[in-house]
Amino acid sequence: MTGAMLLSTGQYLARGAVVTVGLSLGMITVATCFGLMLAVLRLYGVGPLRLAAAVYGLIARGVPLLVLLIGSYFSLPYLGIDLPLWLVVVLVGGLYFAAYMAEVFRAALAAVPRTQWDAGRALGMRRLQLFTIVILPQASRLSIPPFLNVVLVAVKNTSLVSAIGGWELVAAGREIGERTMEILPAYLAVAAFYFVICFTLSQIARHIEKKMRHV
Amino acid sequence: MSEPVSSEPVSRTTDTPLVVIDRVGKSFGRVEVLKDVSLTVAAGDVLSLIGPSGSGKTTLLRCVNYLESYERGLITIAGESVGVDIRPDGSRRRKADREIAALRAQVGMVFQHYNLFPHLDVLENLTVAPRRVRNEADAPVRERAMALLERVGLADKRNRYPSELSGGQQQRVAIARALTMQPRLLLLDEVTSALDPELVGEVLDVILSLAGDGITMMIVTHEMAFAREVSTSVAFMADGVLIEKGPPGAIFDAPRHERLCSFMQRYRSGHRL
Repeated sequence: MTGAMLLSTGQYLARGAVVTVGLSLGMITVATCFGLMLAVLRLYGVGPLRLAAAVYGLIARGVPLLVLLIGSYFSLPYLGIDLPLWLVVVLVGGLYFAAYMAEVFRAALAAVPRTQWDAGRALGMRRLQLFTIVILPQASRLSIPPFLNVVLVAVKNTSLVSAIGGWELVAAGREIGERTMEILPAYLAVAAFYFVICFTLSQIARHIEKKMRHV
Repeated sequence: MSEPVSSEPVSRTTDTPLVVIDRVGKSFGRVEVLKDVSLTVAAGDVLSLIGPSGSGKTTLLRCVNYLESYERGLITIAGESVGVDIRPDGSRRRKADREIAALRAQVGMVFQHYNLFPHLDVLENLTVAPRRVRNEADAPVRERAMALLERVGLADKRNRYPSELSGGQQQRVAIARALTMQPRLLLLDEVTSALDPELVGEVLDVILSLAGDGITMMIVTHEMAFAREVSTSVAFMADGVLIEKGPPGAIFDAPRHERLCSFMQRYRSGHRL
């Protein structure tokens, strides 16, 4: 392989990595918002909503993401819903990982001592104020390590997109492998890209956790 | 049924007690933790609640700002009923969350384990409620908070976090936090019980000076010498019943009720109750 080829190969993989990161960010955003909502419903919600959140979690965590992706991407058009592939991935993946995020947030919220609620109430805070000013900030630090866990799994699972015809890092690697017949190096390079993405995310999480040491 | 109904205007003469606890009862399941407790606290009074563990002192204190609900009787603060409205037909209805929160904002509380907000620094612990609950302007709240930190001797710790302070310092911050809301009543729940013995004094000194300023307080404590020194009246509870109430001299030197006598005796012989 010449230097120029290496460079263009690297650039090609980097473009795939950008798509992977983009899909990951979208998925994680959806998963975080919806997951927090599920956690709040399960902890503080009224009967039926609490039950619905619990059932949602059981179902979402009991089905493979690949099945959900294939199922929704190929059946949505029949329902008259025509969404671009990336959006289906962000939504379906986001809703899927929301079930895991819900468990992360539920554990962290429940870990904030009851006495913090007492302290806020005694100062005249309403429930929502107390939650946003006192409980959520403390729970967010507690949730960073398990949150990162889910994020890393989500990043790597964006590779499933290539199984339904999408293009991202793994698809880019496969093309290069097939074109150059250098299968192993191609996939090693793909693996290295994933590692760099995940390592970077871990470092960011560690940094945030350190900055929040008082929380 | 209780006669003070919240909808009726209560005259605000000086001899109207600030806090009226009228035949209050509460049960946890089948256990009756408060039985027909009646008490009054006048503005400027310092009432100490003493008694063996499990006597219901802390529960009663937590009923006064409705951190605990109660099922029977009525508590009023400055004529306003706490937590529940009693309808003319005698039925009870929980007040709206908004009303309960508004009442709590006028009643300060200090806890055994300080319960400071660990993610906020000392100054923010003091200012967060006035700013966010009462929407007060930043500058005057900070000024008030700094004056209070000065008063409890911790102005130099304003940018520290609770975890960086000793227990005694945290508890003084907690007292200042409660006072920043300018409460008309301060509830102190065993505020020295979690402290190392050598740190108890600094917290008690602060409370003594507040009493000197005429701040109305209800204090649950096991520190008998302190209760005697700081209180205008002392109430002894056992098994959810208010057994005897009177000026400190009478309670400590001339206890009448047999339960109180044996409690005092055990205390004098050095037993921790």
